[in-house]
Amino acid sequence: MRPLRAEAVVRAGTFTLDVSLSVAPGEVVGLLGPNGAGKSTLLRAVAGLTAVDNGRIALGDEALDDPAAGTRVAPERRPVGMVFQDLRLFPHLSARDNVAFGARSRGMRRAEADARADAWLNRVGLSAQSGSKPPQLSGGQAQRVALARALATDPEVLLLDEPLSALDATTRAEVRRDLRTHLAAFVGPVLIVTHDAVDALTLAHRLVVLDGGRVIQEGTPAEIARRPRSRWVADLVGLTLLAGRVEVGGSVRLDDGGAVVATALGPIGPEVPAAGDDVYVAIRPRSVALHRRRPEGSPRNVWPATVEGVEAAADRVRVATVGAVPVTAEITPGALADLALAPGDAVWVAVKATEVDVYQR
Amino acid sequence: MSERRERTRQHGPEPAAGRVPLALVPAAVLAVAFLVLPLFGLLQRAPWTDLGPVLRAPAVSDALRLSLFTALASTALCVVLGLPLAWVLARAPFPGRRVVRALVTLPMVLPPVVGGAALLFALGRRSPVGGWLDDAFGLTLPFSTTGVVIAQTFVALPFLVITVEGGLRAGDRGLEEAAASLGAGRWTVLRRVTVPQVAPSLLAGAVLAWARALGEFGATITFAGSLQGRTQTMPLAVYQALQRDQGAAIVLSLVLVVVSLGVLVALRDRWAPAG
Repeated sequence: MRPLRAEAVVRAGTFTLDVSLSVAPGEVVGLLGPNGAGKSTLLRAVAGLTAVDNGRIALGDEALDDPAAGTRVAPERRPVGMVFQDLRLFPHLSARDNVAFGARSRGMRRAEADARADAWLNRVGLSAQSGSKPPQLSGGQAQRVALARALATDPEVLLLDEPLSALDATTRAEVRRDLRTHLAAFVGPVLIVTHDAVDALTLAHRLVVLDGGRVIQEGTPAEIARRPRSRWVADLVGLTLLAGRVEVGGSVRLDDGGAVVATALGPIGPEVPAAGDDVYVAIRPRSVALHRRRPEGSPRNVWPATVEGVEAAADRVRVATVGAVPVTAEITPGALADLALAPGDAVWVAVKATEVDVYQR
Repeated sequence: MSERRERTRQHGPEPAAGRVPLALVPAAVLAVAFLVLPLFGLLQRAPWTDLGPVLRAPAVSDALRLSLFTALASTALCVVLGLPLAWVLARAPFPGRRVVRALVTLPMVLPPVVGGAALLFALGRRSPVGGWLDDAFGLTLPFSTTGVVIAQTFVALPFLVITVEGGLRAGDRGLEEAAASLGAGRWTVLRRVTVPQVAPSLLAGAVLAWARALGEFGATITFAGSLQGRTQTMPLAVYQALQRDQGAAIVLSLVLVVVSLGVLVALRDRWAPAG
């Protein structure tokens, strides 16, 4: 099994994708980023559907794209399977014919291709639907057919473009679990584009965050979720992310005004920011407390603020505040009722210095 | 056909207010009467009791047979030539594409007699092409059944091309990409994805082209003449019968009306949205 190596420069109007990325066999790399970040463009480049202007896309030693050397392998000759965001099942073909399409296109005889398709449909639990046309399938079933269709060609590389985005929450969890199983069984490199924190954290071994066509952060899902380096990822994982500079004495002066104190700034190692360093400050909403009156005791970070908005989030309530430092608090519905907060109300915000994470920008 | 398309378009959803100024109603009623009454006139004058014998008369049955054959042949020719042309116009960007498209649609607006005359000058025995065909193959197109098919194809081809090109443009290119990613080469993509996708447009275009070919008069009489059994199609037979045997003319006309209605019914979902 060969690793995928993609150094891709793609220019489209004012947008430029310029990404360098390796995926090991058996590794699942999640591509995260806002709309227009270039995630789908990167997948299309690997699949051969979009030509790269510069760079090199290779499987092991075999170049798929190498404009400098004049190499460009046509999409139909690449050992790459792709699941499209909008699935793109052939509406005039049955589920079985959709799954058999790849094998038939490669010249396999009908009976053999059908047998393989049936085996794949069985594997994704859709034997009963093999004769159904795509419009008759539910969202989850269509998604499974699309996955089976891509896997049935025995690709070396698997590309998944927001594979679960079209599904409702219940189906999504179910298909996500099955997808995890299939990805675990897949021995080649996998690239998966996602917009969803849970998908990214549960399906990928490594995450690559794109913005404006460039890689802005790379790391394990845990690292990225704990220490995001972009507002977009921070919003995705539900953290308040602020930028600032460390001052002498252990507080951080924020770029947008205000300051926070963090005890994480102890003298512990080379990675620990020192005075004068530009840093990110991440605050978990659950560690933010709200009070009607100035809190007793001595939390180090306390400031008055105004409630900007209140919204439900699972079993909790998220309260956005604007004050010396704009932070979001996550409190229980009971606490919200006790405080009787509504947008426009004045509150006191308190954040424990031990709960503020500070890391190099 | 094109007039009919304009009319049915105006039958679309009414404006939100939904109230038509009363002053428009008389004109609208008059317009409907104008379009429908001639057909009733035809029905009223029809020799219902003699229908069978009239249809079996040699001139009439010859015209029927010839019309069916030539219309089908020219439709087949339209599909064979028009599908690739539509594909190129829809998918292959090349300089001058707009000019080519304009030229291709020209026969739709050109008076058919002019088309027939043009064919005569281009393919007649004294023209370079016609002369060569005559010398090399002994093939004479004017005033032959083949000439009828050519005249009909000339006027009907644009209908097929425009319809199929529209279908190709509206089609989902994504499906073709998906097919390529599954290992399908261009030809397989065309055969297994693109053509099935445009099948409804192709069918509609073929029905239109067939109807247009069946009703073709001007180009045919100019290029192929009106020889019974060889080039006298139904519309030509109607015209000639009007001067001798009005009953036969009416029966032939009724046959064409029924066919036209059939086409309208076949294409109703396409052109006459429920409103």
